[in-house]
Amino acid sequence: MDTCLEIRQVVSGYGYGTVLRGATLSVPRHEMTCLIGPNGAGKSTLLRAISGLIAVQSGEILLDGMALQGLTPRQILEAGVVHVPQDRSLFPTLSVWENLLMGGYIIRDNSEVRRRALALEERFPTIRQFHHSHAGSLSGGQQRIIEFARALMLEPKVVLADEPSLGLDPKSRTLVFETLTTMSRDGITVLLVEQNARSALRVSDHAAVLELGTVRIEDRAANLLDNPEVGRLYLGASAAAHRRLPHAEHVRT
Amino acid sequence: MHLFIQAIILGVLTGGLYALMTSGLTLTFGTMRIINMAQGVFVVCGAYIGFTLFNYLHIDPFLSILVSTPLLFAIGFTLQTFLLKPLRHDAHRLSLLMTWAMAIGLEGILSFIFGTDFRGILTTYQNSSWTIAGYEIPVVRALAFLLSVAILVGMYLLLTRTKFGRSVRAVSQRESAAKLLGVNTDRTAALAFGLGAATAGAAGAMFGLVSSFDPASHYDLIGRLLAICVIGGLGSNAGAIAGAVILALSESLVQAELSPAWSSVPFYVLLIIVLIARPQGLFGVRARGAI
Amino acid sequence: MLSTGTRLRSWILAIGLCVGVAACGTPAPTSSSAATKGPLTIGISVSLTGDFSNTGKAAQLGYQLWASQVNAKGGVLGRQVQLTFADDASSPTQVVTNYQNFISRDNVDLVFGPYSSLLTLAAAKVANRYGYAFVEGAGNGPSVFAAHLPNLIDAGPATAINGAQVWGDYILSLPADQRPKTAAYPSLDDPFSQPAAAALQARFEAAGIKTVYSQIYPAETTSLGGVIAKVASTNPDMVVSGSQDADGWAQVQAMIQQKFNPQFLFMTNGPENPVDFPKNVGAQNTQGIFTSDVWTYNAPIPGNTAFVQAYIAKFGGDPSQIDSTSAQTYAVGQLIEAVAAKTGKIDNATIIATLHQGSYQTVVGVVSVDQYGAPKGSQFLEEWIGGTLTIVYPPNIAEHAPVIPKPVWP
Repeated sequence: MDTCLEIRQVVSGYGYGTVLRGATLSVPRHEMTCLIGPNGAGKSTLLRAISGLIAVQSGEILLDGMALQGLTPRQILEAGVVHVPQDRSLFPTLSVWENLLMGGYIIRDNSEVRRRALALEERFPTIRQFHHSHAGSLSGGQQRIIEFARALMLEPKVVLADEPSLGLDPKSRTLVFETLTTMSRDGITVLLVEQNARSALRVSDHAAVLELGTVRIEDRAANLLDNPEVGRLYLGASAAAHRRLPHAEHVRT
Repeated sequence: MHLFIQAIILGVLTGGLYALMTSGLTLTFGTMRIINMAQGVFVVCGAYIGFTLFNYLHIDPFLSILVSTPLLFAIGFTLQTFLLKPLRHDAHRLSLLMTWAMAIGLEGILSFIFGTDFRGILTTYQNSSWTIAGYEIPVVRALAFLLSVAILVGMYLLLTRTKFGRSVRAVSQRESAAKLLGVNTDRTAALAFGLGAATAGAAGAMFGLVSSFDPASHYDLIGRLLAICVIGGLGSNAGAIAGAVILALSESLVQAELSPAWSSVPFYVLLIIVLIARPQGLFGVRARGAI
Repeated sequence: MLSTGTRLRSWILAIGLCVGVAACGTPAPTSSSAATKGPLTIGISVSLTGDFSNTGKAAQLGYQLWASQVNAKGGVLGRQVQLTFADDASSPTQVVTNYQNFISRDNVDLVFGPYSSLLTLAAAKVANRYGYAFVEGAGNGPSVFAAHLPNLIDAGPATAINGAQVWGDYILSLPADQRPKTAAYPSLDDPFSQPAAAALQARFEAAGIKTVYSQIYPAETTSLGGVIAKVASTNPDMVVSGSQDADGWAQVQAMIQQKFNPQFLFMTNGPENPVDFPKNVGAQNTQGIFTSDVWTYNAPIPGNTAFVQAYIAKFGGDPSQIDSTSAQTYAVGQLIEAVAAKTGKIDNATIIATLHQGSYQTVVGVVSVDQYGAPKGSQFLEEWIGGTLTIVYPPNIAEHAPVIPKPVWP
């Protein structure tokens, strides 16, 4: 297996406690990997540690052998890792087009930014349709599509997608998963965190189960779908898990 | 009728300058959620810069804008970096006190350097006016108005048409998301604060031309600017302009037609009505971070 | 100009000062107020910071000059004068604290007045409570005398109101066909300027000069364009401005900008400042503007030349830059000397009793006060002629005859 992103024994958390307690995971290149697990297991925290939003206390995060831990969010962005956060991240009163241009903020050459934005407009009809509209006026699903398009402005190696289907209607959810699949087929490595574990496993190539800050199981997505223990604990019983740790996902600064 | 129109002309001309002063306040609020109580003293600093350059180097006050603007930008940038940035996590609560402290401190420095006498800038064209269709248009006020409008248009273009402007608006709306896209939010905040101070610097040089001032003039100024901001909607540029013109126009009209003693009353009555009926201001939006 | 903002600042300064006093104030050695030997101690609050700081310092200079002169002559009744100053930050609250400290803590022999009518009134009430005489040189607004204080004596020739009456004297001395027919009265909301303009208005109306405009503008008015536009639309022959300083400049500027030129222009305050006024309205625009004043360096008053020479010898500078407040506070000292010379005593009761009777020559003219300490005389009229502030009325002291009507703005 050709590993793109290697996570080794990562310990991290917020000011008042450790959330990741030695997580280890190999994310295969050009594939979609999904992270599942109960609320509070540390899925979002892992993405935030990778993109440099929170500090890694110990362990390593390697992108093609290059250590990411200790770098600033901007350096990690320049290395080719783009993070699409869980909460809405478009700028509501900037137009869709301006939001897209913001995706290329770290590129110095303005004409290159325009060229990439125009190429993305070709690919995503949503951009064409709402070019001048305020991003805040779009539906939740449309906004997700624009967020992904914006992430592609940097032609990244890795896209970290945190709960992209959250709060969307089934039709938009399908559209979001389709977009992610296309991205991974186009050669982008996708690391996806999903609450909706069954749908996520169906579209993913690879998968890992995170619990209490460590990776409990890592396998091909298809195998996990067939694993009876996973089915019992995380696919059928996710509602129960949700009740057990109702507030943990909100632990963020 | 002649008096009515004359009063409208004077009011609109004054309103342009107030709009420029307020636009800086709007910018800092829009980007950093900071109500900059030092905006008034920044204006007074600009006035003293114009005064000094005119009296000692004989530089025209309109030209001194080229000095006062970058100088105030530097002052604003420095003050933000050393005094406001350290508070960022508690900025909403403490920035009001901190910027007020800046205002008092700068007032003290100005008093020390220039004394507490009232000052005025007296150019050769100070008291000239153009007569157009029987109405007197004071040259200084007309030029100040035109220049204010030009700077406001420039600010608008900067905010809407440039990468810097886009990043300022982005930070104002979703700071965390802007950070994820590689925007140095601390630097953007300092630049925005500097830019807000720079508008005060430009406006200040012209303020010194149209009225006399002392270091304590900033108390009256900041009161007016905040009222303009609130009536127009905090963080709204269009609101700042509308508020400024409403203030200056109502003062000028009431002063001429009714009584100068009542000149501020209609504006503040309107302010109270707006606060009750439309707390977000005439042009304000409830959405966070609109510019 | 006073405003809510400045008041707020005064508060902040006052609070800061109180903290400072509490932190470093050690009790002064108590001296017996009954002592008749040893130095004559005098407590004076002056505004060294805040709104009145410029004129406050001028007040201090006048007191200092007098003390050094009288001490060189051997003191008052053989006692050396020892002045104690305290800064009141231009705050009416702090000034009260200062005088309470002088009287009840330091047990000074006498107190002299601070600067401005606002502070004088507050301070004089404190002194009255303790039976101290309150001779002051810089508080002659009507509110000071309206308090009916028995211990107060204003060391000036005229009150604010009757001081400006010299303009009325002059206008009504003109033959009827030369007098203005209509008049406008734009005034600052201020306890000093506005009553002076109002008193003139009443007198002119009684004499048949029609009032076409009379309004009071608040201190925070930054643009007087609207006021002057209205005044101009009524086209009066005469404008009587109840102005203070910066607002007076703004009035003149607005008149020039709106090309409005009254035949007679009298301003209660502003034009009497020989330095700031031409600097702010333009020397070429001053021609023909009238004001009234208590004192100028070249006024033909007995002792004035000696005072001016002594002032320059001690503090340097140019005679034309001496603030009239320095002369007025100097006159306070002269009154005390006069009491000592007349009675051979220098206690508070004697000062109060003596100064309420008779008249006394000082550098600001002859001082003669009524039962509440208000001076009975009047000021003199000045006009800007050829770039110089010139005394033009009353005729016995005039340097030049008044030039009327006012020429159009250049």
